[in-house]
Amino acid sequence: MSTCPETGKVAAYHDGELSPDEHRRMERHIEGCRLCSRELAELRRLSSLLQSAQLPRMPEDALERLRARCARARERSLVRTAETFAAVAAGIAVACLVLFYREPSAQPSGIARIARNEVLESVVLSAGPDAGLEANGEYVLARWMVADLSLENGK
Amino acid sequence: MARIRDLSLLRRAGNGDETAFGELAGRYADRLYGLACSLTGRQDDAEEIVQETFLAAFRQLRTFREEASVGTWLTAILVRQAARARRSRGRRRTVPISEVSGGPDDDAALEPVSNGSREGLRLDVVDVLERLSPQHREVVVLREFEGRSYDEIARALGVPRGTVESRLHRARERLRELLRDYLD
Repeated sequence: MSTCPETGKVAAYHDGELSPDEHRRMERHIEGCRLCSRELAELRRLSSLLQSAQLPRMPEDALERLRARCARARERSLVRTAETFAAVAAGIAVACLVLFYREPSAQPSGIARIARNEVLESVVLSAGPDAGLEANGEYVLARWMVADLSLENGK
Repeated sequence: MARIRDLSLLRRAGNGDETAFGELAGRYADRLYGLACSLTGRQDDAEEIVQETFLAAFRQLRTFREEASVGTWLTAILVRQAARARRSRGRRRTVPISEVSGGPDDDAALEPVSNGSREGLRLDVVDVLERLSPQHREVVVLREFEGRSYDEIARALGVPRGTVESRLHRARERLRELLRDYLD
């Protein structure tokens, strides 16, 4: 039985997988080679037969089930997102509470506390009753808080 | 342009836009379902595979590389889902297409259609795919039904291009044996 060394390339030619130069070369070869020509004809018949296959279409009720499942998945995803946000918010709230009510030992050192109070005092005093604070009562309260903090720091 | 339109549809459908979902499903559901049937040979599996494909697409939207078309991307996801379904198939009862569609039984499937009915011929061709190994079926379906290049098939299956070529060669040899009476 005769063979042709180029027959192995016929499938790549048929599938359009050769470079343009190689494609032209194979085209010329196939025209003059009975074996490769027959191989190409069989590949073409096979492709034609397969491509004529009528694949099943998605039934209408299956399409509805697809739509419903995607909607359910989206709802679950939204719930998960909301839960994640709630957990993060709760974590931030807890962290804030810990910061506000932490142990005295965890508070800033004396020097840092005094420095912070000086900043507070300068802000409050420089603001004055008419500059930034809306009511004179708030100004008095602020002065009282600064005085209290200064007392706490032993100033 | 169609590529951008499809991507926009996919994003809107993922965000719960029913109209976009309807349009997207109208464009791809039938094709994906047909492919899933070809790959698995089972309609109940095919329905689940298509569902999983859409859900995975919505979940993985951020990983979508826009140089590929939405169709190519969905096909690649579907092939992976089909392979996953095949691995777990042994644990569940499934219904072959030939049972659902009333197609020919195994012995009669490869006989040529004597009355020349094109519909009958098509049923036999679908049935013959079930006789290929899963690996051979994949490459045949992607090449012959989807028109994918060897490189695209290699990427979709996660195998070297040479493996695609050799599988396709062997699959076609097997098909030529099975369909000898049709091809002569």
